[in-house]
Amino acid sequence: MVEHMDVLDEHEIFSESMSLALDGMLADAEQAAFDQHLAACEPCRTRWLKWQRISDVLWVEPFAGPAPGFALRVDDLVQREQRRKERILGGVVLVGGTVSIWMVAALSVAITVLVGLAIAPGARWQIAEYLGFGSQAVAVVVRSVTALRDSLLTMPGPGGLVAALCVLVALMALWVWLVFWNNSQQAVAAGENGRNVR
Amino acid sequence: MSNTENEELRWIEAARRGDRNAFSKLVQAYQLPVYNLTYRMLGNPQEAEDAAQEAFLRAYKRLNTYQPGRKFSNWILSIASHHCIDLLRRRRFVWLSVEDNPAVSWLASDDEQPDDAAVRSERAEEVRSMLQHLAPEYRAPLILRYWHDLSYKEIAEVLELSEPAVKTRLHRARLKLAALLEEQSTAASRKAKPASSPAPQPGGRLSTLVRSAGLAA
Repeated sequence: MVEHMDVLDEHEIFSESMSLALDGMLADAEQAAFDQHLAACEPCRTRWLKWQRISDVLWVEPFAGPAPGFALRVDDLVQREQRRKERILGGVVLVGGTVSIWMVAALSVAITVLVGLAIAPGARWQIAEYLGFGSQAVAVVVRSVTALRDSLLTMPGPGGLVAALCVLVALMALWVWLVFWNNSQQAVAAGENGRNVR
Repeated sequence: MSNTENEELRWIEAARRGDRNAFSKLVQAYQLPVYNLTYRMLGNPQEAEDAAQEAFLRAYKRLNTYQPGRKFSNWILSIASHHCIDLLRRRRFVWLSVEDNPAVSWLASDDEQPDDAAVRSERAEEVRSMLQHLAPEYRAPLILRYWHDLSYKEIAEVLELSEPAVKTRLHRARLKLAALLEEQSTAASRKAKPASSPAPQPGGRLSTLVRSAGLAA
């Protein structure tokens, strides 16, 4: 039994050497031992011949090539990927820009309201200039916001705020529709075109 | 560094900056090895085409992670082989009957076989179909070794394995391939000699079922 196990182990080791021998990975001494075992062991010799046949067939198998136009199809995919990235980047810039503008506007409103409420109406423009809002453009914004504040203050309290909020929400919804809905429709159309091409 | 490698680096740099034409040149240069790998891995032209396209798209997205010291061919083959292995792992159980495959008469005998084109083609088809029975982990190193002529070190780099692991996988792949072909050959012999075959057992014919993933165990 022990002898049998030894023989099995020897064959097992030989099997590993066969794989290395097929790839020319055996050192000289290992190759010599390999050849010696091969000459003496009939089952291993048979197995070696079969492995060699399989190996020979695999070596001569030709490369499989893609259908013509493969590079163009990949280019189409890459182009769509580029567009997708540009849309995402554009969206991020648009969202960031819009949020910034809205924050500046809200800050302007808050400052103007606070200043307007705290200080006499005649001094508001000088104060605005001291705070760094001296340009004509900002003055126009402040004036508009002040007018808006005045109109809101004249309306019934909660009703005026709700109306203003509704206008803001409507504007934001319009913006979201313009940015995302249109883009997604274009993406769907581009995807269908791509599939048709393929 | 050779002129070809320099030119390749220029394409890669240009592609990193978003030049699609430069990337297209890389695709043209490597479409054959990448497609061959996906085809040998997946065994189906349409799936191979999709996988090769996906490999190139992933390469394009990850161009910034490519290190110029590495061979671009090995880098792209690595992406393709990992994608194929993922695809194959996601496949559900595939039960295949060894008896359904073509006979492997050339292995049944130890005699020398005629070596004309038709016989070679038949053998190639048989071995190709057998490749599909190997687990993806064993199939990939075999393909990289035989078709792409990569060294053990390069295979290890592509598959992100150690060199001893590559040796082991190649050895096991060959063992399984030989065992499978032997089994198929035996099944074909039984079919060819129905009179001497044992009577079919109740419940159906002999079903030596080979599960693709099961071969890895």
